[in-house]
Amino acid sequence: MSRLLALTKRELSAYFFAPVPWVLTFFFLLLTWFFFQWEVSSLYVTVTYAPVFAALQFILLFLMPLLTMNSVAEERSRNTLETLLTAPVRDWQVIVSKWLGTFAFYVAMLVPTLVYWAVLAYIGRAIGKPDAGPILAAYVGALFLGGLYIAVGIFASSLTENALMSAFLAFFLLISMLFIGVMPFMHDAAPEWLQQFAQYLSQQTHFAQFMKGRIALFDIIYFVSMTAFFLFLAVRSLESRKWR
Amino acid sequence: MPAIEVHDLTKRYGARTAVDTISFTVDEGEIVGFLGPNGAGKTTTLRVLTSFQPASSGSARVAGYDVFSQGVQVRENTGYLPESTPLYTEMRVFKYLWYRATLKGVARRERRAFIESAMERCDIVDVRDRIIGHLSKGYRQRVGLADALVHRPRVLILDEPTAGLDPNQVRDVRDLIKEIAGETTILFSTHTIPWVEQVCERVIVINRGRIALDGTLSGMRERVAPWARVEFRTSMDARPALDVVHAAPSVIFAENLTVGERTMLRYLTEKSNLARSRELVAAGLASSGGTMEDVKVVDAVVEDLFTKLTRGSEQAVEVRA
Repeated sequence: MSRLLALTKRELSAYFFAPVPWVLTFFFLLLTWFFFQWEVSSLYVTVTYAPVFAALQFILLFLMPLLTMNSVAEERSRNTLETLLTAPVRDWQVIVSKWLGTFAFYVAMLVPTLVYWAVLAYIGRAIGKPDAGPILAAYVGALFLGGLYIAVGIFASSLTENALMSAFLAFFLLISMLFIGVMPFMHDAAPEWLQQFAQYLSQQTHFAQFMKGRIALFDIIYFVSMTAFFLFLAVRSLESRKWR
Repeated sequence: MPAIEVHDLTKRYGARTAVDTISFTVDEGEIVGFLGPNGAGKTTTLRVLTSFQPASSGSARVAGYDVFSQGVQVRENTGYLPESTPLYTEMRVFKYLWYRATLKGVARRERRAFIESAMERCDIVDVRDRIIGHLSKGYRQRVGLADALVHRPRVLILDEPTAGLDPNQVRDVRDLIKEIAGETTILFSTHTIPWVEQVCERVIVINRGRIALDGTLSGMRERVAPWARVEFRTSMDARPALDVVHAAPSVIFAENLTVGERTMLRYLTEKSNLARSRELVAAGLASSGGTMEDVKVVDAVVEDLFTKLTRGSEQAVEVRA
């Protein structure tokens, strides 16, 4: 346990010491602020900030691959992977700690967006209070969504020692997952079960539920199992040194 | 119980065999130099011993634990310095060692003391708060060493600990190894003999994935004692001249030392056959129209044996065992 904690702490501190995560955080807040103020300045009355979350899944599509691209790839290219894995740690601890560290950084990135809630409460005095339920549900969804994206990013990073390659691969995986849910509808000939399955695989289907304010076990199971699946693949990819 | 036990270890990468059925043991407290040219299989063997990579076949035990099935225990008892000393360059020295000591399971109340003594040992106390990336290569190497021994492992495995260091830094590493000798079992790899001679007695020579020699330096000295080394220049080209030298019956080993224009060759021969070999070589060269000039004869040294054991056919040919 103390090992996992030490690994996670190092992972998180690596984010704070590198310039890229700060740049990404800046753009993240800039973009979410843009969508928020666009929503507020349009004339309809609002008690949530749904457009921010709707945009979030696309912002994260670009952001998470860039945030996670170095996680394993850099350890490979700097050879520190050898130092790391010859300490008495297990492969899964290394991967899980990378996920935890990145997730913690992501949470830190999300925290400033709570300001929007305060802004909404302030300007909403005339039109009614912000609706806490849907906002909180959307945040929970954002956590699950980010967690999945991070797992995909770490998996991509574990396959290569080239960070840009890793980012590209993660982006490709994420966008494929996103669009697989939409694809079958273009072909009505596809069997019903296939359409449903493809829809199930898409993160969009499940994140939409959270945005509607519904926190359902069905969707939580999707995110948890998919995240675990990609982390499992990353562990296997780390282990691949053993059978090469 | 031996600290390191390797039995019929083989490691293949696809069709290439990097290490081919090697066996050796290292006793508790022993220092052993693992010697061989680049690409001989040294790093591969050390990676198997630190359970970074499993062997294709055979077995190995380190500190009493099986490297395949008890990897975590092996790594808990082993300090490893990988080749080229990879470190997290953005971290500060003390912080880094704290992190590594935690990973290696040093209890919290002992951690500070363990780190302090490792830093003192490796003479890096004065850079404890510096960022690793800002340190010189010599300092980084010592940070790597401090990391390898911070958890007071029973076995220390060092891969090319002096590669890329200047002579002063090499001396520092040598002194450090001598200092911890006796308390810890040390297996280090290198490709130069003179360095080994200053540090330890026992050497294992590996060449092309196989053990070419496992013995002591004094044993090696004894083996080369009856040999003489003959160096000469000739007007002939290196290749045909080498063929002539090889054809002489009392030549043990010959190699090409040519730098620049004039061909220069060196061969080993038994001292008892020295005069005869010189005659035969000179006669052979003369019959091909070549000369034999600037002849120098000296006693063979351990390095000559090492060269004989590890040189492939591209530069020299072993004539007789």
